[in-house]
Amino acid sequence: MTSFLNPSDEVIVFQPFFEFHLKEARLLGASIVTCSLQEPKDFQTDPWTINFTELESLFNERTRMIILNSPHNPTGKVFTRDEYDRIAKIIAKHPKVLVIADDVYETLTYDDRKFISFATIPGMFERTLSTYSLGKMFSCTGWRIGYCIGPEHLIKLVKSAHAIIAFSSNRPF
Amino acid sequence: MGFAKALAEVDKPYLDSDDDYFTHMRKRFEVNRNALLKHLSKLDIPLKMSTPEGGYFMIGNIQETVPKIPKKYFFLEMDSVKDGDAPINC
Repeated sequence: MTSFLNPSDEVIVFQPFFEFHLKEARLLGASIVTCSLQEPKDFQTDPWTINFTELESLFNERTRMIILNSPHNPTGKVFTRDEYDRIAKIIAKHPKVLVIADDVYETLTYDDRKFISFATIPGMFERTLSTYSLGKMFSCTGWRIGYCIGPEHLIKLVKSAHAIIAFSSNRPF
Repeated sequence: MGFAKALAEVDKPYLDSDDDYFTHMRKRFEVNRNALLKHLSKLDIPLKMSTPEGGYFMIGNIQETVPKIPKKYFFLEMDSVKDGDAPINC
């Protein structure tokens, strides 16, 4: 986020969301705009869903980023290919918007559900930074070491900020 | 280095199972999820749990329980709330 956001920029996230997104955006003078996931009709068995009309209405000239998170923290929702296709169609209309795909739980999908990487949706790789966590992947949640994958022009900007923010990293003995 | 070593191990059978590390962990978390859902559903409170499709987290709905919570817990100065031990819906 530090690499890409300026004061007054807006970041779209699905609500409820991981609280650090809000804190980091505020630190940068940007703001969070939320699209509420729709509570399941049958809370115990139905999936959380997206109101695409609401989502599309949130985009404007200040929108710089949308954060996608699947499996989602904290609802556990796994976004489907159809949902990602529909989100991609909206994003395609807004060329200045970058996608952060928070895929840190990619290996944990249940009931034979398939994890879909947003970067694999046609036309989206060039605009998407996919982020991963070694701590989540190897059940060491305090580890706070991760990596991201994206097109070279985005990774260059990430590296420039990362070199300043994470001068060194903690590691297991 | 640590990451590279770990990645070299993930495709091998994990512990005593025939599964690789990620498959093993996915199955283990799914069993844990199902056990938690089963036992939480047996609690004598109107708690509804959403069934997570993935990830680490579970989310519950306590909407029906809220009216039974003593109203003092909705205030910062809880000891000075009049009839604070009465349910919030009174």
